[in-house]
Amino acid sequence: MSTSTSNSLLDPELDGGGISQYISVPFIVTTTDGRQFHGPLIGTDREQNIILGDATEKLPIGFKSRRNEGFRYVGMIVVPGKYILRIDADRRALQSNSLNRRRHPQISTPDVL
Amino acid sequence: MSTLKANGASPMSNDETAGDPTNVQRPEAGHSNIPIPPVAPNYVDITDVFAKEAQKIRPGELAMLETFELVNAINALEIMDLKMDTGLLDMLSRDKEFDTTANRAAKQVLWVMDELFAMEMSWHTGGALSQTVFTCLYIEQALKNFNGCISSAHFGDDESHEPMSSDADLESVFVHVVLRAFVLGIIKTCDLSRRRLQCNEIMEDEDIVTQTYSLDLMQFVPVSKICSGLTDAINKMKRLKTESSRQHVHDQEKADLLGCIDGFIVRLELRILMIKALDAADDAPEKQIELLAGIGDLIRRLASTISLAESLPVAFSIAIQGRLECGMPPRPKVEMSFGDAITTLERLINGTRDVLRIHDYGSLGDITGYFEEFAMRRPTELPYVRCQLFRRSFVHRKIFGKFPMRDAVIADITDLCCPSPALFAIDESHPCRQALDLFLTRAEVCFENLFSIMCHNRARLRQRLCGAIMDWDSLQVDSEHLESSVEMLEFSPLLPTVQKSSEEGIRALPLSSWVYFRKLQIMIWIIFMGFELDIYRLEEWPLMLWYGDYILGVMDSHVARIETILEITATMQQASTTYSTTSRKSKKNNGAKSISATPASGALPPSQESIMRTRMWLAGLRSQIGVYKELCHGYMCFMAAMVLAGCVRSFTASPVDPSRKKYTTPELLYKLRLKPFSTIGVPEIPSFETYQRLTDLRDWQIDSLLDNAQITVNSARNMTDVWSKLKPEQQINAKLVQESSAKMRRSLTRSCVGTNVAISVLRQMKLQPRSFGEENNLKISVLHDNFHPFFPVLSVSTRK
Repeated sequence: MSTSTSNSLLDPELDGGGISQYISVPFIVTTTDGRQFHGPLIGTDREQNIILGDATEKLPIGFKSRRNEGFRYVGMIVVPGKYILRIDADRRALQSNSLNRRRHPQISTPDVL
Repeated sequence: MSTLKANGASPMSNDETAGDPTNVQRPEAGHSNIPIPPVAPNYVDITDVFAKEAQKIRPGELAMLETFELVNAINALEIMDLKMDTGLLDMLSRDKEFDTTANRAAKQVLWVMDELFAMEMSWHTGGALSQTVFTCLYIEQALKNFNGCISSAHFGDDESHEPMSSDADLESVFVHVVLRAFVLGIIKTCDLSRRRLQCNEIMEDEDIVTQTYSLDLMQFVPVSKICSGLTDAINKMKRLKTESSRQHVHDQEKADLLGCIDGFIVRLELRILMIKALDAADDAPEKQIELLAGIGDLIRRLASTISLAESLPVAFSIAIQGRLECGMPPRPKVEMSFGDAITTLERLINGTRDVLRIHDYGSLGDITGYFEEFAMRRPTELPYVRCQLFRRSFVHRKIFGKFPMRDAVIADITDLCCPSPALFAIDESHPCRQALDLFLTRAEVCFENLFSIMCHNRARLRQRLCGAIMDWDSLQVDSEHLESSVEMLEFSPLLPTVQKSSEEGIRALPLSSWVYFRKLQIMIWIIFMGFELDIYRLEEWPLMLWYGDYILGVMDSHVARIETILEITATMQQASTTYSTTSRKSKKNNGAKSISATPASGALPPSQESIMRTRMWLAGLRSQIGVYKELCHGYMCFMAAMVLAGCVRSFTASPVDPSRKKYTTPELLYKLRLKPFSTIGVPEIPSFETYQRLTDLRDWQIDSLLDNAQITVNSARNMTDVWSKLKPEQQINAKLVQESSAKMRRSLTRSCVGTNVAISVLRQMKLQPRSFGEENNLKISVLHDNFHPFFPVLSVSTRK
């Protein structure tokens, strides 16, 4: 997969959503040891410590596979920002979030404590 | 494939990010160490954009889902922290992979088998499978390869490459034939046990953890196939033993090999019997008893082969937790020695065998008696045994699948109160039939719930009883309402009392009497289990002993009332028999009159035999209550002496530290401690002022209190001796529990003796009255072992 630098999220139509547009969006967080964690974003902070809910873990390529083709359910996890290598988000969910915001601007944004 | 650099498994040190806490360092792109799995095409890289957006969050703030609360995060696992991240543990262990296909020496295989067995027993005593059986890498490999067909469950690297064993290479036979058969046997016994354990009487996580982390424990593989594999392995070992014996080489190595082979055979045979015994859980009791007896014999043969084993600890690892579907942090392996494992297996066998005795019941009341005794056992029976008792006894909500719960309720009421037999044979057309049915339906639920509660562990049992007591209180209200209705009075006629001054008679009221009796029994259990489970602080002992004594008094009065009614009923029956006989004679004598009691109109009296039986039982029950009351008095006096001597704080005194006064008062503590009984209508909790007044120690001396304590404890001991001499026929519903009842009475005697010793020790110290908080060098400990669970003994000694 190419390391995409183009970012349709910077599309003027979709930009301006802030961090709130990512809440509940399915993420894939890759950590510095090569593992990937799939799950919806529940919360984050300035240090990019990420909370994923109902996450599954996948091992790096080359490691002996586990039973379910390498996927393993881990539940709710916190990934410290300093161990995050890469973050991928489900494009369709992002676009859907943005469209909802435009159609219903009075929908409350997620809490920022 | 992504070309981003990954740092490997080691977490980055804190120093690297110390400079700027908001600047998350990322390794440079373009240099790959570990290939990253590709992401799905519908995902887009937002690493930089996300970082930019995150910078807009103010320090200390959190952007989160609206419905997310911090309490949800308590269970969240922190990734890359070794204490929380099982996946990291797994990654770090990958370079120390254990080769399950490698050949192993006989002694090592023997050790692995013993360790696996110990792990299985650890699981039965509360360790999760991820901390016990699943830590074995052979188990992991077999389950990983298993695709539904037993031949796939081998130790090869993947399911298509089954390692072959050759008879010429003994070590390959030991691993891929013997150990493999044993491993499959362990998996099957865990599966059979687990299926049995999935019942409401066992608390997950408290008693045992049945989670398998989505692994299939070969549920659909027939028992016969597993046993066949074990039998093949046994036959192979027997042939090998014969061949080895024929060779005329006699050295230590040969002797050890033959010893190991014997060890394999015993363990494999034991495994077959265990599988069959667990599989026969629902079969005829005789079949299971026979299998369990066979296990006992094999355990004895096992002991002689333990010393040959050579440890192979690398065959077990907690890193497998990183390969399980588990949202828990890493947990340590639950170790158990082989000796303890044997003891646990014996407990399992003996407990299961004992439970099967319930099929020898004489009456339904014997089953109730058995459950009550079972609940009191120490140590508490293993979860499997408790499950087995309930599942064996209640099939499709009927006792042994035959007797509806209603029969058990009616039997219990009849045993206690001897009501008119017509009460439970009311015609459908009778006006109170419907109300009676409704009452009995509710009573069935409460009664069945009681059986279910008695299969729990002791702490949970007490907690559930605190909940059940409210149901029984509500049932009592229903029963009183029912029995006060005009239509029901014919079954509970007014009986003449001995006291001539009383114009009113006394009514039997069997239904409400039974409910009240059971309710009081539950209250007594709740109160005294608090001593057994060390729930009460020492300063609360006088309060709970006093309240226990009060409830025992209420129970005694209630039982005495039932006894009185039975006495009157028996007298009336006898008189009525005399009337019939006399009346026949008088008819012959033409006109001689005789006096008789009027039999209850419309209600048949109970039989003399049942009345006599119940009266004997009630007499025994009152003896037991008498012993408990005397012991309570003795303990109260002893505690009072210790309060006066300043060894124990007085419950009714204000807190020692005046600054804590606003947070608590003795009255509040009184109400809190008696909270389980606060919602009950009858008997009402006495007020705190009443308690204070009745337990005022101002006019008492330490010596006189100790004298009183000694006298009452001695009296309790004498009463226990008398109670112990009761004949079996005087003990109702005791057919299955004779031995354990006798054991309980002996432990009560030991409690009396132990308390006497403590009283003597305190007396010899010649303590003077002082306030609590003044320095004393006394140490008070509560001893439970060998004493009655409800009456642990206080030991007073001088601190060194």
